Amino acid sequence: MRDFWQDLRYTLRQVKRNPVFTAAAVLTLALGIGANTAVFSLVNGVLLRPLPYDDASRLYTLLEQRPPDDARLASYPTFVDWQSQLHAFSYMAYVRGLTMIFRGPGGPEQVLVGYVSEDFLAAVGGRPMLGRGFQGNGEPSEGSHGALISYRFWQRQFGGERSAIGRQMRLGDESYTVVGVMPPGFAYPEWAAVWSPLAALPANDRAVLTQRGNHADSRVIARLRPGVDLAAAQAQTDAVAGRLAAAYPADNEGWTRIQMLAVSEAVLGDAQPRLLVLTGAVVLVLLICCSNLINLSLARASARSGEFAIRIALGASRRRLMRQLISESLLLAIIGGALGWVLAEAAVAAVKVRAPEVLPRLEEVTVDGRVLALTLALTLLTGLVVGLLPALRATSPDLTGSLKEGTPGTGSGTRKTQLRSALVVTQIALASVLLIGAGLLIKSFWRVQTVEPGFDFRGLVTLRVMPPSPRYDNPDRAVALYSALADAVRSVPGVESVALTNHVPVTGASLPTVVQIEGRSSDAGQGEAALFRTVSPEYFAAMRIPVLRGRPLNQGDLTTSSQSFLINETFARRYWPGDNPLGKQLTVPKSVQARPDFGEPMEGTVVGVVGDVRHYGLEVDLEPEVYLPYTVNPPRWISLVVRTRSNSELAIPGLRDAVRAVDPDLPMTGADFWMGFATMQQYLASDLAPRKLNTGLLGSFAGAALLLAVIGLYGLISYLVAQRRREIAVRIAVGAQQADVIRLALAGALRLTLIGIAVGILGALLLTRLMSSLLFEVAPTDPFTFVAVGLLLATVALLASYIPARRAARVNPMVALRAE
Amino acid sequence: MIDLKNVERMYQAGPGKTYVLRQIDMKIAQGEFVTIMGPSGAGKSTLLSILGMLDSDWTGEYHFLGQPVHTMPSKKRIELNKQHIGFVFQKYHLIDDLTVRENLDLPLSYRNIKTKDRAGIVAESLDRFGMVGKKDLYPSQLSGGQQQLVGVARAVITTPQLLLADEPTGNLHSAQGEEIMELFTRLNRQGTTIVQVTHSERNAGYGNRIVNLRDGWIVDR
Repeated sequence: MRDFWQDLRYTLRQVKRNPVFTAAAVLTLALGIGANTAVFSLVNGVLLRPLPYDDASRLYTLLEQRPPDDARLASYPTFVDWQSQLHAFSYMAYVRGLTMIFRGPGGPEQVLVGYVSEDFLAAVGGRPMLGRGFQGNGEPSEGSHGALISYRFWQRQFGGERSAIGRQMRLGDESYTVVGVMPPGFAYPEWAAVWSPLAALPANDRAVLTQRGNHADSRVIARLRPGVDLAAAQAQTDAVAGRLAAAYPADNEGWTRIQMLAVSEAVLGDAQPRLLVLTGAVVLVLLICCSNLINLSLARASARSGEFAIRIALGASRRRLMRQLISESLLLAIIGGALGWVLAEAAVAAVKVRAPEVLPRLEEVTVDGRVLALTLALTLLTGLVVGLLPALRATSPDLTGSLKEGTPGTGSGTRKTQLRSALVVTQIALASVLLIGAGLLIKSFWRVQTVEPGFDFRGLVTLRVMPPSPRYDNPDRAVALYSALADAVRSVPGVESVALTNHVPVTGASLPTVVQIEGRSSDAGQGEAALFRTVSPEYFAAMRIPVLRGRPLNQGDLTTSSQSFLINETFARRYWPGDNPLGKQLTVPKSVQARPDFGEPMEGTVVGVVGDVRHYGLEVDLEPEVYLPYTVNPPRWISLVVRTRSNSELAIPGLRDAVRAVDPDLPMTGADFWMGFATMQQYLASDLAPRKLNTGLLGSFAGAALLLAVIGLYGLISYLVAQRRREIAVRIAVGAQQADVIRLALAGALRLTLIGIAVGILGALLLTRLMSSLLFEVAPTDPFTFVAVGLLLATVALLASYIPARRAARVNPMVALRAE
Repeated sequence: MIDLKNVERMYQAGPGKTYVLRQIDMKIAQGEFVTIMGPSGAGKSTLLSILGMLDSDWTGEYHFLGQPVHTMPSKKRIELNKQHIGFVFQKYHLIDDLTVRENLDLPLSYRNIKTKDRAGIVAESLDRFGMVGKKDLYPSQLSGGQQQLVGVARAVITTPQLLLADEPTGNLHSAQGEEIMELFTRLNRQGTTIVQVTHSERNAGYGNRIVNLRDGWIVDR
């Protein structure tokens, strides 16, 4: 014990007297530990942590499928049929989603409510963390419906107080009693903040319970019965779907299959490939860190070989030397680990703050202590093993060499140089792989950013208007409200134009429909797929979507009974290739759910063709769209699109006031940004956020890898030059010029770099295929990226080597030779 | 004290062998002050390393204080070195990161001596070598002579029976060299056996016997 403090004191002094080595080692450790802990914490929190549902692997979301790959959400009558005929599932439940107005102390807010059928909790396999589930059939007792609330809603609206249980809240026009709080992470469907029994479904929406056909905002979840495998279930579901398609041809013709989506896959979405690529990248970073650490330790050991020999000569035992080295490694590991932990905390916090919507289940992700311990242990082990090598070597017979020469590396210099060269080559190879990966993502990101959305998003602001029920249930009243809102907003200073639409592109809202085209028989029977868009005449001018042929909608189209439809370019190209679509007749079903006229055909004439718009985001293929005047099938909620003259964010307070003046009960806030006024730039940023996060993280890792590889190369060349000091002095003494010496040093560096790059390119050719799902219009073997990374690495490596090379060229031969 | 019989040391040089020491037979009695001399490459330092048990890659027999070193494992040899031998090097070989006091303490710390006892021994050594005022300085803050003084003090702080010195004054100017050699003479008088390697006839004069080496062979004694 008494020697422990002495060792510690010497160790601290070592740390203090060798700031460059200490800084390099600590930063390497911190980077390796921090990056790995952060990414593995994300992987653990998002991918590996069990979903908060019992036996989640048996949970499936069921959708109607029309072969080969059309899918639609099931209607309630279809669900009832499924429930009675499908025996492969132990429980099935239906969820109808509705945006409701929550009247809280802060004014009206938009809240997404899932109205659920009886077996919902049993099907999902969840239970409240506070309070109880639903009782009986969910019929209201004493005028109030039971409501389960999400953990997030509980925190936001009730401050996380236990007294929330039993409290009343107003949703829309009715009273709800909080009966339970669901645990954090319980999110089925992922948008729901409140769950209430289907019996509580507001009167104006109850028609959905009898309407078949195409529905939005519904979900069917089913729990596979134990002992039933997926193939058996699929056979049964197909048989049932086939029967329903025959029984209800008007709505179900062609929908002959049931698609079973594993809930775990649905929850994780594309997070899995994204996180797995990051995991691969961060493991490469860890390898580079370990290799850098080994290289640093070898260099340090070489520099200290004389010291170890003296210690042995003075009587130090192997154990004692090892203890000294262990204490040094431990101290570095503790400092590096602490810094790494801080880095990991900061990185996870940054991801949560900057990209909260990018990864599912991100809210509950924390820096995982076990991951930190594991990464620390792995790095420490590398450090220890390498740190101990000199102690083991120091007790070998050839001590006299070290003492006699008093120079580092004697005896095993060539072997050490070979090992260090191999490590540098490894680092450069790994850095090449990471840089190529990052390069491909950066190029994809650049490609995505050059994609034209089809409209001018700059200066656009939008608000999803949610009219209170039952005041605006009547379609005419809704239209009057929408029109009044457009007029009010138009008079706000700074507003250039205002339009109305059911769904604004890139905001995530959409409604697929089927269109019957005059003279064209659909293969699928019911018509052709297209997006159902209803707009005001000003929409195309406000969005700056070009009218390519014919005319836009005009005010007259809002009121006349002869209906005018517009289609987009993709629609025209797909269904009338090489033909003039103007004047063609289309039939589109009324698609506003829960209205008595839901599904009634609307006939109209194509009067114009407008430019394509990336409705689902910049990376998603174009869809055929059909545009109708919003008055022909007035939506129950609508989006205001406002083009402002200058800074669109500055206009928002004025816009809010204008909306409030029309009806103060209109909600303009909520848990998500899209529940209030938001700029289109926000939506586009949100659309790009996952790619931005991945590119940013992988880019950072690649940058760090490049830095580490360069440090490794710099260290090696410095070491080699120091070793060859005498040789260089002799060369200079016999007439070598500075340039000759620099060339000599650079040639070695270039050789190692080129080998590293070649190995890295081979590795990248194998590995980048794994990330092809993350690339956008860039091949995994994109020659430009490969060549650019090779040139970048070679240039940076030569620059890093130039400093020690120049130092070597300045060797004073007399001084160097006399010292020998 | 030392009895070498037919000791040989060679290096593998490509396909052939290069001998550094050939058929060395040598006895050194307790209390002697022996000087090993010879031209560069004669094998002087190698012989000293073998005597100090820092080199184990040799053949022949070596008895130290009656114990057969040639049959001992490396660990035991180091133990023997620790108990009985002190080393002084031409290049001092002080540890740069340790102060004078800590450099002196180092051999004691490797011998399981209690901390408070060690402090006393170091203090006494600093006093004896006139370095009390320099105890907190680092080697880089000392002159060559002062560093070698610390080197000698460190070598004898464990009161070894045998002191091995490899060109102890090689890096010092003459006055400093004389000071060190007189110190050796005093230590020898106090009972320490000394074996030094030197090129200097003058320094050899401080000892009582000279062993000449040439091309690995002892040429006279």
